Amino acid sequence: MQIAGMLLISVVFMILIYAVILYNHLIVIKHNVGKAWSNIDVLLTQRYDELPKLVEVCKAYMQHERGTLEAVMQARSRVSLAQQHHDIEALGVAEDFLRQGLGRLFIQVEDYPELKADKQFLHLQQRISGLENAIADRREFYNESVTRNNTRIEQFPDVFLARLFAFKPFKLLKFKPEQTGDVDIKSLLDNPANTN
Amino acid sequence: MLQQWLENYITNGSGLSWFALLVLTATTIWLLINAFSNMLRARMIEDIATSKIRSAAQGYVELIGRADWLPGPDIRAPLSGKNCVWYSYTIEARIGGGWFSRLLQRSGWEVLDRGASTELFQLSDDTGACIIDPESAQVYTTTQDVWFGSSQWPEGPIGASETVPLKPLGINMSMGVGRYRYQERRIACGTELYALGHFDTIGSDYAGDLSHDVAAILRSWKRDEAFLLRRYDSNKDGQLDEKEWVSVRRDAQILAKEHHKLNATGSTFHTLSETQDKRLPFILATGSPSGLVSRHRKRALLSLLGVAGTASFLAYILWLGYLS
Repeated sequence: MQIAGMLLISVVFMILIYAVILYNHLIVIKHNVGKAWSNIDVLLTQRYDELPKLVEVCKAYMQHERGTLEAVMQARSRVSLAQQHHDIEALGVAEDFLRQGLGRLFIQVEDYPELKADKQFLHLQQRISGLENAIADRREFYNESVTRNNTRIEQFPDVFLARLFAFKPFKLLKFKPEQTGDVDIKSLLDNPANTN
Repeated sequence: MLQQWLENYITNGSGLSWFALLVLTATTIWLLINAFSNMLRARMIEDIATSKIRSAAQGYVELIGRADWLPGPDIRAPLSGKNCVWYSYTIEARIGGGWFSRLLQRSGWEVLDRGASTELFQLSDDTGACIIDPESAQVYTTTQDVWFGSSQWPEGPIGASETVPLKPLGINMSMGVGRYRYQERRIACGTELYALGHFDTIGSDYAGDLSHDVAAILRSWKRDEAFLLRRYDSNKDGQLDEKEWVSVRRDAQILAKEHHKLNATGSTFHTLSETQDKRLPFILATGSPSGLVSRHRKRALLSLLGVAGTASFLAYILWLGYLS
C-alpha cells in the first residue's frame, strides 16, 4: 500500500511539473506576441515622426496637390490613433489608407522634376520606403507569433490550462493583399486606375 | 529468472541495496529532466516566429536562410579535407582490455582529439545577410561521416557510403575495420540553415548620441501624460510607479536604438551569436526546423520510456523488499 501511495505521489508530482512547464510556455508565447507588437510599434512611431517632414518638403513644390498631402496626414493620424488604442483591426484599415495615400503622393511627385531631384526629399522617400518594408516584414512576424499563440492555446493538452487561466487569442494584423508588398511606384504609374 | 535472482538477492543478501536504489532513482530523475528539457526545447523552436534579416529586432531571434562563406580563405574540414562553412570532428582509438574497462571507456573507443570550427560564416535570406559566429553554438546536422583507418589522421578520401544519418540520441553504431575511428560533421556552403541566437546590428557610424536620443524621447512622452498612462499604467491607479517607469525607459531605449540603426549613414552589418542569457540556447541546424523539433520529440519520448522502465524496476524492487 505504501508503494502504491508513493507511485501515486510520483505520478501526481510529474503531472504537476508538466503543467507548470506548459503554463510557463504559454506565458512565453503570449509575451512573444507582445514583443512582436512592440517591434511594429517602434517603426510606426518612427514613420509618424518622418511623415510631416516629407509633407513639408513636398508642400514647397506641390502647390496644387494639397488634397493628396492632407490625405496622407489624415491617414497618419488614423494610424497613430489605432496604434495608441492597440486596435489591430482599425490599424489594418488605417495602414491601407496611408499606403494608398503615399502611393498616390509618390506618383504625383513624377510631375515635379525639381522635387524629385531634391536631396532632402530623396532621403526622406528612401527612409519611408525602408520603414514601409520593415513594417511589412514585422507585420508578417507579428502574425506568425499570433498564429502560433492561437494554435497553441487550442491544442491538447494546453487547451485545459489556457481555458483555466483565460489565455485569449490575439487578432491578426491584416492589410489588403495588394498593400502588403513594398510601395511599387512603377507599377502604380503603369496602371492609370490607381491615379484617380 | 530475474524475479528469482532479485528475491534471492534481497532475502539472502543484506536486504535492499541502498546503492542500487540510489542509482536507479538518480537515473530516473536524470531521464525525467532530459525528457522535460527536450520537450521544452521542441516547443520553444516550434513557437518562435521566423524573422527576416532586413527587419529582425535586436535580441533573441530565429532566422532561416542559406549558409554561405564570407570573403577570405576557404574553410576546410580537417579530416575529410572537404570545403564547408562549419565542421566538427572526433578521432578515436580502439581500446583493448576486458569488457568492463571498455564499458567504462564509452563502448570501447577512447577520444584522442576533437574540435569544432569557430570561423565566421554568413547566413542569407531573400532580404539580407547576417554574420554567424558559431562559437558556443549547439550545432545539429542531419548526417555525419564515420570511417575507419590505421593511422591517427586519415590518409585517403572518404567514400559516399560512410555518410550516415544521426540517430535521435546521437549514438553511432557504425562498424568498420581499423584501429582508429574518424567522425566528422559539416555544414556545406549553400545548405538550408536554421539559426536561433542573439541578433545584433553593429558598425553604424550615426553621429547621434544614444543617451541624448533616449532623453529626447522621454521628454516628448512626458509632455503627453495621457499617452503615458494609457500605455504604461498597468495597475490603472492613475500614476506611474517605479516598475512602470522601468518599462517606459526600456521602450524609450529600444526606440532610440532602432532610430540609430535606421539612421546609420555608413555600412552596418548584422551578427548572430551566443546569448548572454544562459537559458536561451544558441542553435544552428541544417534542414528544416520541423526536423529539429522531431529530433527533440524523439529524444523526449525515448527518455520518457526510460523513465517508465527505471521507475517500474524501482517500484518492483521496493515491492519485493516490502514483501520480504
